[in-house]
Amino acid sequence: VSSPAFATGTRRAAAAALVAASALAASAAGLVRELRAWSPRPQSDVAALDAQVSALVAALPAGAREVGWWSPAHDEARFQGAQYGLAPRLLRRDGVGAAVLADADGAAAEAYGGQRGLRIAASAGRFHLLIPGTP
Amino acid sequence: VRALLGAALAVALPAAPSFLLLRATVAPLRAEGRVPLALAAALALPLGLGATSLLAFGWVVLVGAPGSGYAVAEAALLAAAAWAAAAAGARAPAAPGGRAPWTRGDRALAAAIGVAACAAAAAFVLTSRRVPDGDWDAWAMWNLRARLIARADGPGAALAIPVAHAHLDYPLLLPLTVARLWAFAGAQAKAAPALAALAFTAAAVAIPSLAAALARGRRAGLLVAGVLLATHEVVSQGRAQYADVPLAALVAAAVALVAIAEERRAPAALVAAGLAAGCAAWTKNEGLLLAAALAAVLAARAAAGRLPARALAALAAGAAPALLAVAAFKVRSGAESYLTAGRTAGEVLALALDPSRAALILSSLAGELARFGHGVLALGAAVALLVGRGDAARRPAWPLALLGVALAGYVAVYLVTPHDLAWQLRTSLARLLLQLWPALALAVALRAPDLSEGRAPPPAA
Repeated sequence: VSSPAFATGTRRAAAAALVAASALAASAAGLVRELRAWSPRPQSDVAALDAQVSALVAALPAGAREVGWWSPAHDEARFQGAQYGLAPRLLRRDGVGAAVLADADGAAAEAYGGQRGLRIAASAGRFHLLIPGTP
Repeated sequence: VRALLGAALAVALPAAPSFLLLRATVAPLRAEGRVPLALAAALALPLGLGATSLLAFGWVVLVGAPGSGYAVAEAALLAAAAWAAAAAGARAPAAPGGRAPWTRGDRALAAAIGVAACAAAAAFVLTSRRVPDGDWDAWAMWNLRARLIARADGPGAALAIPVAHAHLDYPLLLPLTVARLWAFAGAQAKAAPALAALAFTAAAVAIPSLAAALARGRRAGLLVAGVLLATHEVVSQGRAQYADVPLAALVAAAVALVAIAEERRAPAALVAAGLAAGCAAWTKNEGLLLAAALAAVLAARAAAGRLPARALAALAAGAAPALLAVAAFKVRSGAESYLTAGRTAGEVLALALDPSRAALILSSLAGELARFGHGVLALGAAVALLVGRGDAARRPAWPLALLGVALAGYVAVYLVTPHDLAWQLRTSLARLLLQLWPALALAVALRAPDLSEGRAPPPAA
């Protein structure tokens, strides 16, 4: 029992037990946390909002290069996801660039919009794109 | 389902020729059962994705957005590469060897690790379904860049982007990988970035674990896997669809391949190690630092006579394609790093010499090291103490030196960052530690004794 081989074996068995318990505990905790947070609807949906924005972009007047948008109806995650999801679509359409002018509280959206000569307005659940030079 | 299958094909297809090439390098010996083959497969995932991102980059520059035409061309090229690799692999030597028996302890530990891995994978999938667009930087940069690439009009269009908040100087391995998956999927399916994230996360755990198993026995590999699965950030950051876990997988791959080259006298592994290091540089700017650190550490070993000079040449040859892509991208995009844009040497020096900044960095680092993985560093240290150290002749210090140099580089960048230092530390330090963590777990395992019982001695040089 007091042999070096036994001591080595005991230490290694202890290491294995420690690691097995830690890995199981961490993985189980992660899974339980995720099961508790589970909801049938995704919390973000860039593609769906991107499609909405695409429809708006399709209605933009010719030559419009920058738009801003803001939707207080969405939580921050969806809001941010859509914000960044729309930019490439606008880039493709306009070739030059899109202004991404939004922030969770809307105040930054106003500020960014002001810097770029845009006006932004929003009401619950609706986008208002105010293009310079257009009504 | 069709889009998911297409995206899965885009992950599996480049892995096939990579696996066949790596099999000839990593697994010419049958002494360790299936471990070398599994390691070759794990390495093939990030290396295959990295190599094909270089092909996609060439397509973006010369043609434009990678679509169905790109998918067909790449599939044909990869099929030819797989055929050539299979032909080359068939000529590789295969030596017989004895396999280590499974002990009861091995079986119990493997069962626990298997259950933990299944739980981690389930959590990954559930979270990816709940938050399919990933976390903040995934929307803000990585998947944004992928959309820009997938929707680019004409050659090079995706590289000239006026969306300044997207860190335009960050390299493109991850966005190009997502754009590739979309090309094979035939649609910009939201499953594609999640699938890429899953592949890189699995590789970040599997590569160091299997490399440790190959070098120090099955038990060592299981311990490394367990320590990584006990680190909650591996899954939480992996499913966030950020570039940190892909970078971690590539750094671990580079360390594993250099270790294989050294311990098994397999110089071809150094070319693959170079590819891994180059792909790390092609993933994030921190990867450039890590690639430079690897080159410096191995150059020091060569200067000390512990590594032949041709090893450095092999490493450079492997890294060259990705480094050339990084250089071409940086020149062509014209985007400047926030570290250098509009700054004078005097400003940078003043920040670097400010002792309060150094104190804040060190205190934040100490705090993050204690918090990381809910104390998983202490677990790793305890395990290292319990298993003991290997023979001095088989206890490489260079992987620890490499990671130490990289960490020092991170500290230097924090010192001179123009951003609010406390904010940058708060939002990035844990992810930077995660970039090094799988490689560190492997580095510590390489200093352990051989933990297999009754295993055949390592192959002769």
